[in-house]
Amino acid sequence: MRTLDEHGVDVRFDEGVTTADSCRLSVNMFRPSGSEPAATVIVWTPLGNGRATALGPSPVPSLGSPRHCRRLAAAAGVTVVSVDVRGRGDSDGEFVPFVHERADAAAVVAALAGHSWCAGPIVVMGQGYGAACALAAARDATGLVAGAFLISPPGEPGDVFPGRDGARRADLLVWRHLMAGRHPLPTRFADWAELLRGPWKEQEHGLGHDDLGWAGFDAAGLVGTGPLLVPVTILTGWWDPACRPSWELARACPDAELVVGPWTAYAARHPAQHVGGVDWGPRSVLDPLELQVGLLDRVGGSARHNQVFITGDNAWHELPRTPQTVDWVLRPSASRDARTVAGGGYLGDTADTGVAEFTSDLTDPVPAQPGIGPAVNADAPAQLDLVFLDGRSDLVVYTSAPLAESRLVVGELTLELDAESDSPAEALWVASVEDVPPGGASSLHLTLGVAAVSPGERTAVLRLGPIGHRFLPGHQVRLRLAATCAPLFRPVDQAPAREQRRVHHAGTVLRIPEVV
Amino acid sequence: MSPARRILWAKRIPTGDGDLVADVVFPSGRDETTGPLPTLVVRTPYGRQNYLNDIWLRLVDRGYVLVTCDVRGRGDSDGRFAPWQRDTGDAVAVIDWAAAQPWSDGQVGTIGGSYDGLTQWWAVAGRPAPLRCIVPMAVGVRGRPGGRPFMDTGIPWQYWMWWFAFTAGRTLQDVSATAWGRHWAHRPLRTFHEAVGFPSAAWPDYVEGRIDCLGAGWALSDEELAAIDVPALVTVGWWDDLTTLETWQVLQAGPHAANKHLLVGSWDHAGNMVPRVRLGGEDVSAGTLDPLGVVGDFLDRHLKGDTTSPELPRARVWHSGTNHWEDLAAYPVNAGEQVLHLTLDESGTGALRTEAPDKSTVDEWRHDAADPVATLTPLDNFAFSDPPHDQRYLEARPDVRTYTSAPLTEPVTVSGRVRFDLSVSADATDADVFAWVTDVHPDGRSMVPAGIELEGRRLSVRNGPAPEPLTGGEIVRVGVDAQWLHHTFAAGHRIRVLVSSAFTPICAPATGSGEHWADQEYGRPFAMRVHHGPGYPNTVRLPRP
Repeated sequence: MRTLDEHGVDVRFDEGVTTADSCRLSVNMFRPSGSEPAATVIVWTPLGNGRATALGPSPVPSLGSPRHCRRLAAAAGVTVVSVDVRGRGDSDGEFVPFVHERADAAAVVAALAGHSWCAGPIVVMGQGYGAACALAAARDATGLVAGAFLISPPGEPGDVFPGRDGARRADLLVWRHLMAGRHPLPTRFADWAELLRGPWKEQEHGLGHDDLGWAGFDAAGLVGTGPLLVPVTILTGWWDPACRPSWELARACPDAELVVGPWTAYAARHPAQHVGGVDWGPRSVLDPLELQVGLLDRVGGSARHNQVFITGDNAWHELPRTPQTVDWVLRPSASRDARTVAGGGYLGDTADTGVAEFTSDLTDPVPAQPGIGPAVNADAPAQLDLVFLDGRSDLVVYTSAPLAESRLVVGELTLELDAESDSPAEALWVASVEDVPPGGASSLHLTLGVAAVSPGERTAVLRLGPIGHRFLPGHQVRLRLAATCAPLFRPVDQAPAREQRRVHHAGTVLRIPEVV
Repeated sequence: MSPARRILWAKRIPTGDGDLVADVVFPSGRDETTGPLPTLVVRTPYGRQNYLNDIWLRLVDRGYVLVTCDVRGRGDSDGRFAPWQRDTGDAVAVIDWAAAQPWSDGQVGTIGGSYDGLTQWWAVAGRPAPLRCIVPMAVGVRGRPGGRPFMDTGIPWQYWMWWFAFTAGRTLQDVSATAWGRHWAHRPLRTFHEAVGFPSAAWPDYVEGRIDCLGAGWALSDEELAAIDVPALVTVGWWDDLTTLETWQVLQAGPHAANKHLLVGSWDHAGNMVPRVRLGGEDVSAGTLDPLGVVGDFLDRHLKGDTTSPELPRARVWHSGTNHWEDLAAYPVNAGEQVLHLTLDESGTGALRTEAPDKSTVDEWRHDAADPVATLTPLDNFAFSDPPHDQRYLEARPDVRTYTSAPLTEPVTVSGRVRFDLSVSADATDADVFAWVTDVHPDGRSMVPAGIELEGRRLSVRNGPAPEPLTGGEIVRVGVDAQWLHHTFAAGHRIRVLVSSAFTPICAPATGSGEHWADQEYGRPFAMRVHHGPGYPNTVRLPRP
């Protein structure tokens, strides 16, 4: 981290910006003292200007917090403005997820473009929900925005909000609760494990809210992924739910610098060397502030390469926008029972005509993490080693033979699934692809895919990843299939407590993009 | 203790003019279906979630449902925040609403300290029917009779800008983000809020006199205080807001004194919740107790009728110097007073004597508003700072004059408010004078036994609210009301008086000008004097048991 004179920055708190419908939004401004700013950075801070972060302590100040704004202003000699979205922090109005952000973001940019504290090109920034706001500003404030820095842009409905590929994310209720007032609400008083196991329609009341609109939350109003024509830097991690939309956005933008690290959503915001129980090495850590300064330097300049951290290699690679890949095809089969306890599931070149069966129990769902997990409790460490699932009988698992040579995989995986459920309601399928090192004592989770299959349907295509991973010689590829993944995904309320599941091997294919 | 508990979030309380928003917190294992409970109400500008910590939840777990409410214009409550303006209507609406809920048994008590104590005084003034008791901690509300601005001292507090910054906008602000050190010397003070970066803060209301500490919007009259018939537990620390003890005097003298209780401990403002064992470099561990435990016993008695714990005495007071708790029938305990005279001895050293001096002497210093007497108070952490109790770092300055008694041959106990009567002059149109007492230990430490926010007097308002500028070096007589004490100066210790013309960073230093304080630039340094001798009284009055 740079050593900076953070008090050599003048501040202006709670400056008002009025929207077209006469709502007063509040912004905080930070300007290097005694010098004309070289540019203006606008950051959206839906979690409340960093006054209280729900993300736990970190040596790296949260994007848009007063600390971060002062540091960026001092480091780059720019004015930094943090924006409270409508109904949050000091802004008037009511917070309704996504609904006002497009128009409000454009109004903020237009107002600040004429503010006496602002000068030079305007660069917008944000993380998560704030990235959606910044993205809307960059698209809609045509001609005013010269660059964008986005951490975990959430894409369009179906990427992150309200869930993935038709499967709703139950743990987003934690986020919705945090965002249910001008100050982030505390999360530690709810029994989340119990709460998120309950029916959708009861969760909001169970948490103690009256009218969050949670049961019908569909993220309507979230701006989709179209190209940005200005320079953009996008930061995400392989285990960030926003990895896929980040990846797609970077491909769509002509001047994008994509940085994908060995990070969860939290670690993409607060870099650390140890993520998910794995030491990724000191070089895995990047200082987001330096990337921000770098973006400000290149506004109007030349495009950058993508930087991705290839797990397995545990090293950064500069990648072309679209690496050349071929499908590495793996098919499941089972000599006897594919459930973990039996361990007969195999992943290989050959199709099998068999069927694997298991019973899913909603009252004892397959856990995404050993405990409630970091999705709900920011203090809970993420664990990428999925061996804690090995004793369960409510999933099936297929493992390849040890690989003879190393294989580099970059991009999105697909799983063509032929499977059925005895449920009269929509059935969830959750797939995990893992790397099993020699000896089989651990199993590194690489990526996850999910599908909601209508009653009577048998086939679905699950999208997993993207990933950037090298399977080393002697390692094995593992595919795990389950009907639940608590507390992340939850089926519709009509789903029965117990379901009989069948996976038809003949129609099930895993396609992995291998770099040639 | 498992953190899981039932909380109803963001309940909206209609007032007829927008809604107020509160969270409703149940004891562990209880919820809105398990039967009504006695109810605690907090109203705060500091964010209602501040009460969702283990310190306050211990009270909840004694069997109360807590309603923690953002005041108007703060947090999620509608409207605009009007700081220091009595909001009795909102208070009554919240208390009535809480008592009418099915989870409430209709018995309401209020809790909270500082501004959250102020909102209780404003509530009780409206006599809401369900209100059974109040626990206003560490805040004074009794108006002062003199009619002068700024707590009747005439001296504006620059500190308040910090508080207005803290409470600017709708949520608590990160006041550490501004470079206070760089801006504290900004003049004129009219634009201080712009300089420090809080243009929306309420500072202009203070500058223009629309709001004031203990002013019309803040204070309760003596008649209102005396009329409070519900039980009250008032707490405060010796290094805390001592205007609380002025308020107590009316309660204690009123017709409902029988249900009023006072707890004064060896703590500071934050210590009303959890006292620290060291304050200002002083070991105060002998006086630590659990103030919220005392509060809990009080609430149990008046909201649940639980009389298993002994009733509180009228006043439980930490007796500093002798370092023990005392239960008193009244605070202060004063039957008489000791008058000490400020003088210079033969060597020109300041002395405190029982006899009035028969010789005229003058103690002169140079007052410079640009280099004023300044305590070691971190500007970004103001209200939670802990400056040293040992005043020798201030005494080392030439503009802090000291008057010290001879070593005491026997202990001297003081109970009540110390008052000064001073004869001073200044080579300026206006000036301030501050005076306070310390306990000088045999090892030389000069420890302030109470009070961090000292009060002085502006000379131009020496006779009342109408300013009378100083002319031609005239010698004027001013009264300065100083610390409240319950303290024994031990044998071998000495009593010391400190006199200065500035006390920053709390108070804005006088510049010697007759202009409105907020329009003044720094003037030239000028001479200040204390005149001793016949015709020029300079005394400190120490109330004695």
